[in-house]
Amino acid sequence: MQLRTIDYSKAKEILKIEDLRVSFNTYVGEVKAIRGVDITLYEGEILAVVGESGCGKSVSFQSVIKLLDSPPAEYKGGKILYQGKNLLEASKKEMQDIRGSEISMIMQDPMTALDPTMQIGNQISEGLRRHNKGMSKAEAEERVVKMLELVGIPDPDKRLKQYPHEFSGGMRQRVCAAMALVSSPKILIADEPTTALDVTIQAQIMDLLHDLRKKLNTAIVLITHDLGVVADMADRIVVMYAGKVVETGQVEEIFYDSWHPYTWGLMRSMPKLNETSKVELATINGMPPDLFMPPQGCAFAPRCEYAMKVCYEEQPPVFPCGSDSHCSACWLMDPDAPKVKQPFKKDGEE
Amino acid sequence: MEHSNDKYIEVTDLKKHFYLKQKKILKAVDGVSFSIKRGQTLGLVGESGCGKTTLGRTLIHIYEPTAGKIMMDGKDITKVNSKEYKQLTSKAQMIFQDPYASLDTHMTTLEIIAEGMAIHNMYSAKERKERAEAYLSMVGLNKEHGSRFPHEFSGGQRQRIGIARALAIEPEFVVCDEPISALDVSVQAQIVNLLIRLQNELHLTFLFIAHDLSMVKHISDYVAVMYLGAIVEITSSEELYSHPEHPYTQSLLSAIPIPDPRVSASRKRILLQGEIPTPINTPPGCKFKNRCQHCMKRCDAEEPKLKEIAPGHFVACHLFNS
Repeated sequence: MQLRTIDYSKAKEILKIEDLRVSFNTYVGEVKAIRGVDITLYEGEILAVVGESGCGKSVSFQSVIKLLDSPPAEYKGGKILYQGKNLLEASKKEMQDIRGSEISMIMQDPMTALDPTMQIGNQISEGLRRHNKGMSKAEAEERVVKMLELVGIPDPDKRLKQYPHEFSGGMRQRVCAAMALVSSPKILIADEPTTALDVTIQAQIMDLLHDLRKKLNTAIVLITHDLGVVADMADRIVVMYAGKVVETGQVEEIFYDSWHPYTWGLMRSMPKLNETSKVELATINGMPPDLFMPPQGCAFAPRCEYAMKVCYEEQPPVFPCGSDSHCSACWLMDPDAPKVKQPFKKDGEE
Repeated sequence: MEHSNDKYIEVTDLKKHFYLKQKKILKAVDGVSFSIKRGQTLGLVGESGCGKTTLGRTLIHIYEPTAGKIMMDGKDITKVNSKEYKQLTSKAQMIFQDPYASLDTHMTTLEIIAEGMAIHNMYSAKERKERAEAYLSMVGLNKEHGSRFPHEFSGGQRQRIGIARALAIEPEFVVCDEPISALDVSVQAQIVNLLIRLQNELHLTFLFIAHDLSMVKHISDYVAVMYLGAIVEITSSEELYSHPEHPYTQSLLSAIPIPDPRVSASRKRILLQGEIPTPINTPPGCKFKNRCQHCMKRCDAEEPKLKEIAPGHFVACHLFNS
């Protein structure tokens, strides 16, 4: 594995989510799923978005390509800036042009993401020909064969004519990757791309994504809850909790020098391979808040062992943590807050 | 395996074949032998399709074995009549993978937990209710949860209900079939802690099936690695993770992502090519030969048998058979 080489002082922003708010109107009330999210994505980087189910990591990026059905989803505010354009205001037609050609997505479940009645060659070239009106069928097929080769599918000429059920799970995920990348998008959103796969196949797909990033310089958003995958892949990490970003930083900053109690909890709940078996694993007590009625203060306060009075009353602002790339939304970072020692630091001991 | 009298489960040359159309045979479990000591946990790992769930189900007699012997607490359970079968099912229980699909949506939590006791004619109705409440608190839920329905619970809480249901019948042996793979990381840790605690309190014997290798190491005393219906390596969990010997185990372990960027950057991976082949009409010889980088002539002809290469460490590979 190579060391991370991105120089963030020179990196160019490609996508900027500003104060995004998304709600779902259900029959029992409004679920405030995204409550003011700011995320910046740089050219050519791999950004991991981590958090528990329901924290809003998928919804945030489904909003970027507007995959959410509305209703029930409703964009309550904020901006999603891509090449100077606010995607939330883009028309249906404009979104169709962006989706697949500029920004594309790999879904979690390769078993359901493909159309079972279409040959995979046609499935991959469908978007390509939609975005390049002049392209002939033969040209498109040539591109598809090249793409299948790139994602490591043997005998692409033959497999092109096959249907999804003739592929295994790992192979289908490769087909999905080929489909997402065939129009050379600037941004690839991979939503739990390996959760449904075995570790051995997961390792193959991870290597593939790494490789593709290197060859095509695509910015990849990796949505996952597997911190192992994050450690392997990411340049930068966004930690989300209850519809908000709680901490952002480069991979080393989050893994070795984190400054948010929720991140500490996540890191500590992973079993370590070098640890003796059957000792009690650290857990985060309690459950995430009900987003029908999000709390007034910090959403993590009821589960946080460091919670102070202010945490219950007021939402924490985003504090810088030593470097330009690292910030945490926690009152502990306030200059007036009591000084605590990080309980989780890989360099020092716990 | 070690010879002692406290083996709770002892499996000898167990086979479970499924007969398909066109005279094809799917050998899901094909000659497996191992034992589990009372009060201990055997972890069972392998890729999907390797037969680990079939093995677990055969052990508690959900599937009828094709051949082989399963001794449970000194009794051969492959030869039971229907009366003994019921007794057997009260001793062996299962915790399922999907907490969303494995609970009856029309029953309250207490009914779900008490149902098994009623089936086995345990206790009076009043006692059953009290016991169900006791199990509810044992798995970390409270009394009010008892009158609720499954859809009112989160995934982690449902898995707790599934655990309470399995334990309410007072089993001695529990097959945990991927009990945590549908859950979030922080919830996984809670459930694993719960299982370890309950095992100590109730002296349970576990078969823990999973594909998350780091959690398996955490909970297991011994770990068996399965490939295409056969066990290729079995030893204590410390030994397996520090000295994996079978080429398949080595590549499987090297594929686990380590949640530590510096360690994972410095690590060398043995990338497995291709995928697990189909278990239908498998060719003779070693089952792993097509993906193995050490494949020799001998591997084509002869299937390797488990061999003890160090005390308590068994490997089925011709590399150790010279």
